[in-house]
Amino acid sequence: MRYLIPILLISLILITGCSIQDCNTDLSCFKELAKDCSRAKVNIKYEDNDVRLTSRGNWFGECKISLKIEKVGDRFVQEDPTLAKLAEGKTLNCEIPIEIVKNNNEQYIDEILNLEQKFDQYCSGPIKDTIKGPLKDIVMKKIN
Amino acid sequence: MKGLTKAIRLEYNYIKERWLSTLLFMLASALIIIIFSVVAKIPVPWEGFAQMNYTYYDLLAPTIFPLIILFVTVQMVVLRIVGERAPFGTLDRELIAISRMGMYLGKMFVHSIVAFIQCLIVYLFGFILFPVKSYAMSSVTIILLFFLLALFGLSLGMFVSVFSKHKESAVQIAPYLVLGLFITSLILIFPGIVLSSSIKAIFMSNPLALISQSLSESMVNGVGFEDIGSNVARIIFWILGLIVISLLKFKYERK
Repeated sequence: MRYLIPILLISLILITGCSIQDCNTDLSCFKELAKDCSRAKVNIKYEDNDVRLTSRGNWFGECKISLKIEKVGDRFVQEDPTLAKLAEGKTLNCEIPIEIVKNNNEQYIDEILNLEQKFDQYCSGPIKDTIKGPLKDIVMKKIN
Repeated sequence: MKGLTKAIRLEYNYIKERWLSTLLFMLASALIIIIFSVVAKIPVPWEGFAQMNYTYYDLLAPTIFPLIILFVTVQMVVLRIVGERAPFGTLDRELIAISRMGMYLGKMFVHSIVAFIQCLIVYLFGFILFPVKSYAMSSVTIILLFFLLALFGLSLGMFVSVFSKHKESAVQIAPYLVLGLFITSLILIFPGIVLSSSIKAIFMSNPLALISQSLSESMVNGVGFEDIGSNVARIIFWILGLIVISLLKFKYERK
């Protein structure tokens, strides 16, 4: 019993501390929470793809935001099934300084979603490398 | 849990007396990683992965690293119960004040510390000295997955040890169990093999596959802990299940 109570207390602190508020499909709810760098997640449809955005909170003055491609859109799958499979499940992990988050208010979420070059220095992960590598031609075609 | 501290001290002394073999066990895994990193540093020809400069070392690491950890941890404890049965092992007078549960948990505790050091060595060699391509968000996730597998390895080794009648049978069955788990987890990573969802679910209940898949998701796709949480929960269930079954058998078997 003397071991059980501290274990339960630590578990409770860990569980409540690690919980992320689920905004379901409400992007404005997510943006509202993300502008203060609070922990939240949302599932949205972006350019035919199922995308999940996760705000992981403030870590040593940096706001951690992740973008994950849950499911690639049918159009892309039909165009190139191999590359579509490669992109599926991949993430982009960003560590944005808290000052930039505060100055940008909630706009920075759109900028991450559009993969704007401004955030290139703060973001890393397989999506970024895939865009620069195997998906380069497709992305360039889209931009042009 | 009578005599847990005494059981821990006894087990610590056992490890201390055999420090060289424990050290060799740990260095063996480092050596395997070094050799593996050299021979498998060949670019993969698959579309997409090739442009991202992936090598076989990068793509096979989420399966090979867990195999190394599992093999070492199972071997580490597979004789700890069966090898202690009379007339071998610790003297009876040393065990007077220790309950069966205390004895079991004492062994698990001390070997968990050794296993944790083992996981750190695998991380050091696999991710820092001979770095594998990894998008993992944090090193803590990787080390946690390694350690969970190490705990599973220890509980599996203890399970075999408790249920074996002779040292020979324990030593013979352990490698086959590990290889069996490895081969079934290997089927899941080959791109050419397409399994139906029900068969995949059966293969995915394999603890080695759970860890390999979680590592792969973390290292190749860069996902966060929320995406591998269910796998972690399932492996904890496996660990607890094996510990409870072994403990019950060990507690109620004839002394």
